[in-house]
Amino acid sequence: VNTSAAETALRLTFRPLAPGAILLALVACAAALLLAAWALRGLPPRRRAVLLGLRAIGVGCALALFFQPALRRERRALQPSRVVVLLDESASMSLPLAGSGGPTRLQRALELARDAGALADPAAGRSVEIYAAGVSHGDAPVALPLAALDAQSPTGGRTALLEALEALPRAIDRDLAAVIVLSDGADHGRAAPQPLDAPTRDQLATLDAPVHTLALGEAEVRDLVVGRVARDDFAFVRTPIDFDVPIEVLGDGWAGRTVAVVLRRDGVVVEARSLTLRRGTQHLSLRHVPDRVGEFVFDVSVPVQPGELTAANNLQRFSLRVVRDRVRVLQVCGRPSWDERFLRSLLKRDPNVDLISFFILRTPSAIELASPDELALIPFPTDELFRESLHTFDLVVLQNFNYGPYQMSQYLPFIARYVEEGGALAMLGGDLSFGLGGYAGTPIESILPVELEAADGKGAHAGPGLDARPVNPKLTAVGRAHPLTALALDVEESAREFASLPALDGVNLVRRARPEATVLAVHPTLLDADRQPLPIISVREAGRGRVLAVGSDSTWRWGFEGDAHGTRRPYERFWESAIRWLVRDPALSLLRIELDRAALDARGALPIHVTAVGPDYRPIAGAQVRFALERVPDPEGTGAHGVAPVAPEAGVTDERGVLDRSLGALPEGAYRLTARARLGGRDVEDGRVFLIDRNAAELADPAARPALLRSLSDATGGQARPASAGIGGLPVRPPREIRIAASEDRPLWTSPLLLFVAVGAMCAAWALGRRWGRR
Amino acid sequence: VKRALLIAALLGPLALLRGVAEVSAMGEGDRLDLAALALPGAPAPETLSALDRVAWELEKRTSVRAAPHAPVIELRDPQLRRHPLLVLHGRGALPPLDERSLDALRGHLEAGGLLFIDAAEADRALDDDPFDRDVRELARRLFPRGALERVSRDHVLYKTYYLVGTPVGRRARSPALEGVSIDGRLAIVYSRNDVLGALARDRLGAFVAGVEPGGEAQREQALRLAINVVMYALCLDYKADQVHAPFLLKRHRGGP
Repeated sequence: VNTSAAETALRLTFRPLAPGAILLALVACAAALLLAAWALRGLPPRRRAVLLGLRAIGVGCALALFFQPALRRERRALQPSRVVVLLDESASMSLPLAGSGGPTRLQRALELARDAGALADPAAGRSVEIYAAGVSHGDAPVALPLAALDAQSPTGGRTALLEALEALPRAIDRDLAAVIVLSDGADHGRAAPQPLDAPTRDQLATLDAPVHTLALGEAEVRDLVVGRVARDDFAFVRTPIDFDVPIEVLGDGWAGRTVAVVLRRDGVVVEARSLTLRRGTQHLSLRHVPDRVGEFVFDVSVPVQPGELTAANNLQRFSLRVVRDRVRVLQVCGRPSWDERFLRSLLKRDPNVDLISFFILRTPSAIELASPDELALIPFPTDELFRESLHTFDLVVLQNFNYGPYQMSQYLPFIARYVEEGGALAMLGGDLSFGLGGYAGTPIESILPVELEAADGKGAHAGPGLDARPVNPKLTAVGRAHPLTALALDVEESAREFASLPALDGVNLVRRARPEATVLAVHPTLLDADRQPLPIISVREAGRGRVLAVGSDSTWRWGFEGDAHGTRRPYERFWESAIRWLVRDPALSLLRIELDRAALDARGALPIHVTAVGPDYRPIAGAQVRFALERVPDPEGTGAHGVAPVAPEAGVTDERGVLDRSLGALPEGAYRLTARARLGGRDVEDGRVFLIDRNAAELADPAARPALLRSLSDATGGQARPASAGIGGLPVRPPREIRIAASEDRPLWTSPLLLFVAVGAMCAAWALGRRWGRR
Repeated sequence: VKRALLIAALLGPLALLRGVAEVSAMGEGDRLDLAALALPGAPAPETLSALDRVAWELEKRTSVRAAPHAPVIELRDPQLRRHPLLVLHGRGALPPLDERSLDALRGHLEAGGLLFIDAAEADRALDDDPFDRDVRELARRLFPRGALERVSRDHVLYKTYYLVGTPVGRRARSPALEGVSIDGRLAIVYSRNDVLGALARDRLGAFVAGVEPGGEAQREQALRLAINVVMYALCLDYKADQVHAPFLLKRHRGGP
């Protein structure tokens, strides 16, 4: 309170009464006087006036008693006021004030903010305060000390001037003398739609202060902008994605010029189209068919043109998760068999599997007397399957299939490379498979979990390459808990169930399991070349892919025969689990990272949630989890150098197998976070890609919008100026609000004089009335 | 057709020799067998000889490895589930089946098995055929909510290996097969034309019965139908996959 400007004043007050009571009292008094005047109508005018005057004095005294007037002595003080400078610190303020170079909009705004100090008037209790808008998530303005102006940078991701203005009274709780908005008007809040609607204008009027606006930047700019690419949060592998890319040409000068619009995935060009520029917004469709699942960083860019306002919006980045809609399986069988038939039946029943089958129905040596037109046979499209379309499959099943008769040796390297690049292969046994299929020494053998016996039988098992005696495979210690052979959650129960399965008809003989293989089930009596139990079911990771080897062609008996004993389910469970494991179903991942991207938007920090489970899929407590964080370079190489981002601190999972961490606020860019742990004796990892792109919306809209600023000023009686006009001369509303600092009431109706006057007037009226002949 | 049969007769022994030289099976259970169903009572020798013939032809004409001799299996035999393809070939009234046998057969078919029923008395009128009557009754008891229905001409069964026109056997009294479907696949296939009768041979290798009205060409058609049934049991609707469609459509258009 400005006490130096205080003053004392007197004011008459009355007893607070209801309007009805006041009216009733006044009417009663008026009626009494009218009746008196009517009763005195026979008297001479002078006497009549005297008597009527005396009665009026009496009525007046009665009214005074009724209304109880008092004299109030008040001490008044002026409320201090403030001029608020609202400084736009959103990312668009980093753009040049004019043309394609020179000072930025924010630099000029800071100069104006300093100039606004001249509007302060300590004598009138008026100060100037600076608030920053659009500096962080949320729209409430943040107070800025004058000394901090030099350290300001335009990093805000959203301009919302109206929301900031509405928040001002709450933030300041002082009288507003004026608001000065220093902004380019590139608003993304409620003020963006123009003209302002009536509710918005009413809302502005509640400020009860003029809003002056100084426009920074030019409404007419020259810039090429890659807008936000419309997309879903995820896409399906092998399904075309059409990215709708809006490209906006602002200003003149480039019309007719042809530029290349390039789409990159993780920095590699996957699509490019040329575009002839013309003023306005053009939509370009860029198609991409993701060939594998995962999380990727995509960017769309156009080359920077001479004279552009900024190059920062010529690139649009986004992350996209590619998932499977269905697991695409290629089943190739050397001959029809019950093993093939029951596996096909199971795969066809599964709605999540897209099955492509090829069965060799007739061998080249078969005798056929019918003409081709009488046969329902089709050529075996080896080239199409194993050269052109191999990458489209998630899993290839070679089921008792020998490649030799079909001139397929040239395709075996393709299959091996397909696996090493992330594909999956299952080789199922039989008399045409493994060594008997001629795979020994081929690229296929190099990716199998087992080393093969040559078909000539010159191996550890001299003979035909298979053992035809029925056998019940025995689970290894790893196999009891491995998701592929774990038929029950409990390890012991799983082993019991496995042991109770119907016997297999025989097994393929292999030389030994590879060192990198995981053997899940072995022969109970036969040994391999190393005198170890002969592997029957084994898996391995080959490159980025996975391989399963089942050395038998009769797992179908687990289903068809097992069904008679009520145990058909293990067959289905085994193969369903095998497929999920082979194609790396995320649900089977032992270590998983989850990022709360929504929280990132709200607070700028990124919460990380890690869960770890063991091979039996129970939570693992005490697992040491390490993190690595790397920046994914953009096409210009930004992020490839410089200070590496700080990864979250390593930690240990709790009893729920959970570890929670948080990443601090990161600079703009794309990042890949990897978590690693050793679970169940194996090194496992999981990774996520995320993008920090707070400024994308700001830079996509680079032109200043003085019209929007003018509408704010018009709605509040303020002035709208270009920044070049400066602060000087902006009107400021004088102090207007008076507050009561102290008061003292002196009642007038309690004075004895009032009683004497009333009684005297009534007595005089009565006495004179008697004297003049009135009774 | 005669020329074709002549070539087959010449090449057959050579093929047999080649088969012997091939690598041995993983196990006998690995080979496809066409198990003759005893309800009870041993199947007729003609039935077994016909099934052996089908197995032999499968080995020679296709990539299927078939057991050379058809086993005989009873419904209450614990080994029933080792034989997904069952064949019932008979004449006259069927012996009554108890509930346990019915349950075993029903479970077998529901788990993925296939029962091929072939009427040996194809000379009788359809309305005076106790075998036909009892087969329908058997199907009703097995699947009260299902019934024997005509297998349409565009069913994949007619193109699993050969493009079969009319499903004939020793006779051609019925123009279509019938069947009972479970979950979109045929669990029972019923022929009233004595398919196996057309293929049965005596000990000297001669065909037991004549084939009418189509003669030897019809016998070949009966064999092709039998092979298609086996291929259907093994491959189900494989030939209905989209990848086969353009090829098969072209052949249908180009065919007679």
